[in-house]
Amino acid sequence: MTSVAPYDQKAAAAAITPGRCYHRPVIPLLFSLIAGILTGRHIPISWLTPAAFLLVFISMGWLVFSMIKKRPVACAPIILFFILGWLAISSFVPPAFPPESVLPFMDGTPRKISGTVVQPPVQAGFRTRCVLTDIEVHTGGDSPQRKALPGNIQLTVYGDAPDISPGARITIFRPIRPVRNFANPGGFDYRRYMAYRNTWGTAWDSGKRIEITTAENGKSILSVVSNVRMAIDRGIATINDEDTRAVLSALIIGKKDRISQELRASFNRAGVSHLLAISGLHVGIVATVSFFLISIALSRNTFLLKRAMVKKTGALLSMLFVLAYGMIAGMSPSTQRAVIMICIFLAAYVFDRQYNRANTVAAAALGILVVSPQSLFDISFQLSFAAVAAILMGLYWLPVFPETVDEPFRKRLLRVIAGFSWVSILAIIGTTPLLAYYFNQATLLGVIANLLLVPLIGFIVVPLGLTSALLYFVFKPAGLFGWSMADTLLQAALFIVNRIADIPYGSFITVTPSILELVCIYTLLISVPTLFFIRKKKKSEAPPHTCAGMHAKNEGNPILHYRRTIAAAAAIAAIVFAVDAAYWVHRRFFNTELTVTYLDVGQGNAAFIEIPGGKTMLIDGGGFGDNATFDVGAMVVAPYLWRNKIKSIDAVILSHPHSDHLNGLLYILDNFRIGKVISTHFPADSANYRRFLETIQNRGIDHPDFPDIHEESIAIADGADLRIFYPARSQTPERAPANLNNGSLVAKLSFNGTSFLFPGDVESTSEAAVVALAGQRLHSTVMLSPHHGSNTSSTPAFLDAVDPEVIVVSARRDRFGFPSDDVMERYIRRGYDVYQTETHGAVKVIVKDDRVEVIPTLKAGKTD
Amino acid sequence: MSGWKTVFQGVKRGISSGLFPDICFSCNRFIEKDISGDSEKDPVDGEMLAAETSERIFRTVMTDHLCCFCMDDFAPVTPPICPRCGVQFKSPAESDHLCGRCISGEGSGGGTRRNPFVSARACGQYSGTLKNMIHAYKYHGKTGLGRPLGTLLHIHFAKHYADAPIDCIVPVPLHREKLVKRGFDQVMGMLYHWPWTVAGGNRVLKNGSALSEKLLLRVKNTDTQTGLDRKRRSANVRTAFAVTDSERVKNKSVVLIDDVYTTGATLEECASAVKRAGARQIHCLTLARAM
Repeated sequence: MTSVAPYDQKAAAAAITPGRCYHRPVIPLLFSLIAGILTGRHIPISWLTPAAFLLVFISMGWLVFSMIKKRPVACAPIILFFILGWLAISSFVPPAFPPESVLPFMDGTPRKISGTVVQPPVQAGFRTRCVLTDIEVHTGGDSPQRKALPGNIQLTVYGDAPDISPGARITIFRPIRPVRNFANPGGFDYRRYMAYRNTWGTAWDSGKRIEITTAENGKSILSVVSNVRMAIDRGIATINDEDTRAVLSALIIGKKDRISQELRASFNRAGVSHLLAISGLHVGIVATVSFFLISIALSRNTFLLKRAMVKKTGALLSMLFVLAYGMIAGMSPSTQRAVIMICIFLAAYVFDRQYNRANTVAAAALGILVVSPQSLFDISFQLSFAAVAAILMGLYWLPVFPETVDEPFRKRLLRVIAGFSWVSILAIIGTTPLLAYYFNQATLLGVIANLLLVPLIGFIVVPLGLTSALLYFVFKPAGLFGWSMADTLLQAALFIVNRIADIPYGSFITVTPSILELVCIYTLLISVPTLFFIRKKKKSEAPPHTCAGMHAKNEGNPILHYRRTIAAAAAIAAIVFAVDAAYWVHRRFFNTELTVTYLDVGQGNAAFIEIPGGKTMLIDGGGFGDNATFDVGAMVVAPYLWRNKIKSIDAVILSHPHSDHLNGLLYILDNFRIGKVISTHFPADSANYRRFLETIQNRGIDHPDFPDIHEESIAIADGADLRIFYPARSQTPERAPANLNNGSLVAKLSFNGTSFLFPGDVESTSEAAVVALAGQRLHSTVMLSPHHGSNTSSTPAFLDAVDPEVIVVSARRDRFGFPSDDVMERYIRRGYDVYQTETHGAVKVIVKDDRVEVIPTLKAGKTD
Repeated sequence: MSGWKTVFQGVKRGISSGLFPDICFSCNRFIEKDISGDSEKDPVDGEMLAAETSERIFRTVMTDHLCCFCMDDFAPVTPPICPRCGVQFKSPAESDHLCGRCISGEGSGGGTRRNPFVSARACGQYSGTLKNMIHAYKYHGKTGLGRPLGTLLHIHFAKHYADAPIDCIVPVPLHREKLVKRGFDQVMGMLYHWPWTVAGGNRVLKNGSALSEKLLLRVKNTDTQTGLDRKRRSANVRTAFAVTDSERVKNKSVVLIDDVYTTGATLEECASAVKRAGARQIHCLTLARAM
């Protein structure tokens, strides 16, 4: 029986002390889970660790106990989520990864391996990349046996790949290689990145050799979805224009790999690249349009009308549409996020609940992190939630132009445009620091571009394209006609994208902020506007039609109670940021040390030199056989420079135009301010070398003739000079050696009595010539091993002349088998300190006064 | 209740209120409540509550839907009132008496017509929180409010007609076109949540009152009453209603249910239609009464 408790106003007032209850309950849980994941990334624990077990047990016990006793659960869930996050990420974190059972199979011997393709393969240029799971290694000679291995392998197929689709079983006869990192200070941890995807090995094969054993043709939902996607893809393929066709299939079925690099770059520069990834915007539009149409259709049904279930049913059915779109669109991580988020919003309708936007967004993030904790480190995860969080916060601070009753159309249009611009400004503010961190790009044009393109692409092209896809299965010509209309509209859109991207100074390259700087920037971005916008007794904050007067009297905005904390956080962030900036200015322009960093570029050379006073030099840029496969310049060298806040290089030196020295420089020449380029001008018949020369010419970079600089001491800064010994002045380009290696530029950098020799790839004949030309002047403290430690080089006579204390070998064995064991033995016998980029990672040599310090990135020199 | 059941319910409640935290339906702010006390809630007992004041009823029914500030912003209809049309008199000293309009027998549109209903009662004044809630319910798609508002209406039904046995409960209907446009019927949306038992195809309350759903029909799709004055409102709804089956109300006592009593024009028109069909006695019950 109910007894109506007397209403006690005082008790009620006490119960609502601000901050006592969680307003948006999912947000603290989300943050504790994130904190747990971040902790687990650095300090792995496992379920078996007694401490972890105990902590889970205690927090669960506390939770259950307080529920039974009907006490507030207080921070028990927060602690529980923290530990769960910690545990969840730990299984992905090296050194526990790769699993021990696979280690014997990564010894470099070719084996017969089969695996099932899991995701749709990604195509880029002449190679197709896919992920294989359910790996089986065929062992044993006479009686064939199979051994199943855990986890995934990434397979790269070169050349014309047969039709690889998810579910196909592929067999190859190749060695499995471990996932390798470029171990440069602060560099991208590819091994960990792959570990998060449960992928521990890589293999490659030619498309002609791989064997597709079984391609699944069952009637499972997945294969139906895959067939539908392929059918739509074929339909879209009827569009003639290559660019619009690529963009339309990105928008409808999430297939982005046909979009050209140039178009992608234009989207980036214009600040609308988010339109190409199917995300909350697209899914939200699908949900809105389908909810609207379904509600209209259902509003004639008496049964639903009487039970007030029109909107509920509409929301439920829209959920199905959203799911269907998500599946057609390939369910990429960003699509999954959007689908979860939109479904939670629709669920509020279905269950007749009030919802809070920030809480719902946090719930979506929480859901994703519970399912796959490693998504926290996905760039797209971070970008989309940064954008959404910024939009929500901004609208909380400054809800522009509230809706008024019976406003005229012009005012309403103005309000929509203003609101829209505000939202895109907020999204840009929220993502810019992350974009600078990951892509070194910032754009000012995003606001205009979004204002034009989001309505055009989002509200017209996407719904049109999807409706056409639906029509296509009913009546083909209608679908094709719809797509051709979408094509016309997209051409207009791409025209706008390209025009905006071409605006000079519209977007610019930024240096990479450090994590500390990111934290400071975001702290300032959150705290300063909060302090500015949320002040005492702001009348306009009250909702228009309510009992808000009472709120204002009694509590005001609860955030007001934390004003001091927020102000302190802002002040600390500002101070830290200022100190950090001062440190970098000092380090960059007022340093007194000379630093030479031999970067880990895999097989190849790249050495970066920082000279007291702020001058910089880059000797070679590393490079793989083809930049389309992997651009060392873009992926390794440039990020290293940007991390060190370097945007300009005073001199770029190319020793000789082989791919492992030249290819990485192309990106550098395109994206940095270059003082001058020094090279031998010896001709090379390669497309990349022609591009190298073209870029120098197009950008008007100083490229002095070789005889002018030969043997000249190039004074770079006080006390530091560079001298080029080889090739001889007489060796004009016409008399270039047939073997490009033997035409390598040999240079020596001297500073305060310490010297560095950069001999390029000289082989024995040219080593003799160098010794004959320069003799004892070659003597150096540190030498880069000639020709990556190959046994064609490092002749005793040359080593005698240089007689270094330290030798750095910049190579990786998997391409040409450098360095040679004989040469390494020779170095050790002579008592040199040998550092290998393959085992030590990048090797940094610092000269301060007359002290020389060698700092390898990987201290123990073990393979990581 | 066993401990595990409590835990299970706690988890369930935690998940649902974690995903969708309690937000006040009137001011859209978070509802702050003392979480220690209410983990187990008894269902609202209508009959018990019917004896309480309308303010207490409102508080009990709306615990989960309103913050305590908006709870305070509810205005009950307090005596002295006009026993017929239910209007509240400003001066608190007087006792209940007929208002001038009812004495003169003047219809809401002016002129002299016999008052078609004997009494009109409401759960509260059409202002503050109740007005916000009705707006949220009718115009902002918060159809979930049908349950608490329906409960509120039911308790007041029990409160007012305990001594006068009611035969028929007749909702004021929406025109079909308006129904389609709005997507739901706000009166039926509340009445669905009354504790009916189905007897012979009809919904019947414990005390025998039956729901007469399709008795009244809105034959004219009238313009909205909002923004019209007393006279125009009356003219607007004139002959808008028709009784489908007079046999069902002949000599019966009837309660008309609507959401808001503003000038009484709609209810008077309905009442006239029902009266013409031969009803013995007609009462009106609305969620809110504009004063």
